[in-house]
Amino acid sequence: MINNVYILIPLYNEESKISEVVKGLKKYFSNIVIVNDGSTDSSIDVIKDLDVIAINHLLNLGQGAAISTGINFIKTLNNADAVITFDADGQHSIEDAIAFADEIIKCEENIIFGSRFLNHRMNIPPMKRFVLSFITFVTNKIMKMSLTDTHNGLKAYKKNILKYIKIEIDGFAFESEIIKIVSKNKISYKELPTNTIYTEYSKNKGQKLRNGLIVLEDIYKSINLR
Amino acid sequence: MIFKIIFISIFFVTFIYGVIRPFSSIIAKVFIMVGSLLGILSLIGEKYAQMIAVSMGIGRGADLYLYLSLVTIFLFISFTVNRLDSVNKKISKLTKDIALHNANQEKTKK
Repeated sequence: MINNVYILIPLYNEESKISEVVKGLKKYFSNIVIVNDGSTDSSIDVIKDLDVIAINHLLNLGQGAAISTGINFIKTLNNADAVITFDADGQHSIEDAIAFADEIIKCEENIIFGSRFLNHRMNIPPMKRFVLSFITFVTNKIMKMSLTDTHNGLKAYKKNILKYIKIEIDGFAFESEIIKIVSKNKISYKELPTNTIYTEYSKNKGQKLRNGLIVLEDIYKSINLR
Repeated sequence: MIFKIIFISIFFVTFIYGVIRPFSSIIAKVFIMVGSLLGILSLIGEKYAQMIAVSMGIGRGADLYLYLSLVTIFLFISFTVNRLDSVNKKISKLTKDIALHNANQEKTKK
């Protein structure tokens, strides 16, 4: 059982999936923090019955805000050595989370980025693959990074670098802001492959392709933030 | 004639509003005052509006008002978007702080 690595799950309207996701993770991780981001379904009631630390946003702000709140909470915990962000919709595999937990404790790098493009490129739907590649290309150019997947929710952070992670973008494009923070502060990083599970449910729930444009807009905003 | 009086009254009230309301931005105050004066001018002295337009290199008085209207609309949209962004940030901070406060209280209870 992993005690010193916290799992952080941003949650918005996932009443049908969250229980299954948490039960799967609970077999390996003792500490799970869920930030309910103003869900309008019964997600909040579902997580009350689970053995997790629940934090509740009264309003829906966005994934970036939920991650920000979760990170600010975990920063204050004494028994946390690292944190892994994990999606609530069941897209991420628990085996990947275990690999990330193992690696973030052992490795010298301070952040591990998940990448769908390292081993499981062909699992990504073609159009999504194209948009993600384009966004990754733009982000890498602007932020002077060399990532293969800039918008993957599965990441691991060592606790000592959480003080740098101050997220101001509330939406899902906060990922670009994190990359900017990593680039600006020269935080060491590496990538690990992730096997994202694209079910019909997750495809319907997931980011729409038009959101790619919003991501580009938010990359522009994140450049101007600091 | 009745419409002319109505519009002059509206511009006059707007001008008075611009004079007496304590605006946080002096630009907004001047903008409302000058805009309402130009409005009155366009109604009571078309030839003066024409003269101003010509002196500014714009052919007709009507065009001057068209350009001013467009600038006003764009400025208004821009100010409104900025204001909304600012309010959103405040709401976001408040929501996150409340969530953390409640979570820390729960942690202390345990």
